[in-house]
Amino acid sequence: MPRKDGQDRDGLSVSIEDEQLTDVHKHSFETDGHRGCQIRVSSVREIPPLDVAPDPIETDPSHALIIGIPDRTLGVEQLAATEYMAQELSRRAGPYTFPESLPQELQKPK
Amino acid sequence: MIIENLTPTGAPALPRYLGATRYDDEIIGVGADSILIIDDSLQMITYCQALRSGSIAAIGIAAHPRRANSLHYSELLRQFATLTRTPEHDDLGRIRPSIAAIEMASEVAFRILRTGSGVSMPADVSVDRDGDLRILWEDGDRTLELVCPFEPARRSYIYYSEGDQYYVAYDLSVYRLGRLFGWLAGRSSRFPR
Repeated sequence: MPRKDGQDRDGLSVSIEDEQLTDVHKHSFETDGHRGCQIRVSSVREIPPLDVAPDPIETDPSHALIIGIPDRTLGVEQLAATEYMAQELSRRAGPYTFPESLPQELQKPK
Repeated sequence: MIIENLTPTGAPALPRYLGATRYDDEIIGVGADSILIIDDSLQMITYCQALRSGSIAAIGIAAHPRRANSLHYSELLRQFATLTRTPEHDDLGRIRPSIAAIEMASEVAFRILRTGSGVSMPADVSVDRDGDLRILWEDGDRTLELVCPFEPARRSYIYYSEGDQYYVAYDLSVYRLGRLFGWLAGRSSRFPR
């Protein structure tokens, strides 16, 4: 679910899998009490109008956003649609197991 | 429910009573000395709250598997109590719901029990990053999720869906909850609006 305070208004943050960024992603997604999930871009697109747009940032060049989620603060219809999309995304997502990290010399510089 | 007053009610003292549901579940209340109602030895409701809300005056628990119902209800309350002992935050957001959210969820759970529509164990009880308490029930393709916001000023709601049909309802009356849980249990084929 996008947060209420508008922090996720641009979209939901995800990272496109990249074995050269395994350590970066593992550090972001595998924290105490949390683990990474995976979902295919094609599965996201099965839920119109959702899509995935690249949004590289300094610390994560493969950062992307799931876009198209309505602003749930606007009204009950938007809230219901947001709940539906969140439910459909969670149905399509599964736990992600990080591969072994690449040797240091093959990793992209952070 | 049958409630027998053992002493005359006199404000400000709370009435003492001893009673049982019509299924012979024991209910004991001892007024101001102890503010607990004990049902099935598991279900504890604050007597004062029950009196204030009027919930002990006219409870009609219908003839569904009522023991399982009340056990599920008790288990839900236990899970809520566990959540109050979690840390307030972690690195992704809130993980402890507010007292207001837990009180609201407990109240709605009690209303669900009162519908007599059959309270199944939720598939999930969780807190989202905003601290909203979410209780999810599932039956096949049908899902129903009670959302009790962290902020007391925001309204609680029920989101429910079947296939590509979905809806959000703010009406959490016993009547509406009865219809929704009846639908979830398959007693109605029509998607409720």
